[in-house]
Amino acid sequence: MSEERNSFKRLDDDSELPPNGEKELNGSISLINSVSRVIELYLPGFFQLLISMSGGGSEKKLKSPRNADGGEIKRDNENSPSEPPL
Amino acid sequence: MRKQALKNIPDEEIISLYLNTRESSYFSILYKRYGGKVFSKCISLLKDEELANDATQDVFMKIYLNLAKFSGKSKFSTWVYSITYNYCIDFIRRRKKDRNLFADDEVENVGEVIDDVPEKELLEMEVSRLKVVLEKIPLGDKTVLLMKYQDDMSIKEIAEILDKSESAIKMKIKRAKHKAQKTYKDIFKDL
Repeated sequence: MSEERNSFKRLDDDSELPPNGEKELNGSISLINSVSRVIELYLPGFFQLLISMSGGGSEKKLKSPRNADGGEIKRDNENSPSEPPL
Repeated sequence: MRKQALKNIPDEEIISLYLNTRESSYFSILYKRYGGKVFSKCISLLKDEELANDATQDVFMKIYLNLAKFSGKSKFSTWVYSITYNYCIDFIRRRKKDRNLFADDEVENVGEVIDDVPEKELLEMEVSRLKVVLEKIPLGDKTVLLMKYQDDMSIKEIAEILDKSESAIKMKIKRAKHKAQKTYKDIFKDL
């Protein structure tokens, strides 16, 4: 029993929280939370913007052109072997 | 009523409540439980209230950011104190540009250490006297004594924090105890 409350442990008995410590800590935590929320919200959009500015990522460009019925329009030379111009 | 009930909940449960809900009041409970002890350790090692205040903030930010990584292998208090000691030791090393804060008995292969220094006198010393003694002995000795007798850390845990072998830590504790007892006798023998 005496070992549980030895003089080293009793040194800790009068320990107090630092003045304004909790307030400052809550401030830092809410700052971190706000920054991470902003990053979470806007970072994907920012990268999307960067990608589109560099000319990539647009789905429309990758799709083949379609006619009025929704069918794919084939270019004239799509199935024929390429021939050298006459 | 709710506050009263939360007072008796073990740390691990508070942590899991916090991780599941992200409600800051749960983290505040952990701060209220350990903030004072962390602050008092920081004052005792850094010897400056302003620095200790900043250190306590930094330690709790580390705890906040790494809480999900706490595995529960050791007690939560041990985890908190090891972050505190690591922070303070790094700070002192950087400030003093002294990499060898704990190197006075840098004997890695000392073999089996027999600790025959009695600890009864040390553990039953009057608190005000112990404070004086701990201020007089080197910081490295004070730190290992606090780790062992105040925080109940195992030799293995102390060795991991200080990056030393277990036998070197045993030797360090033995010498620290000896120094503390000698200092006590030197100061208080006539009283």
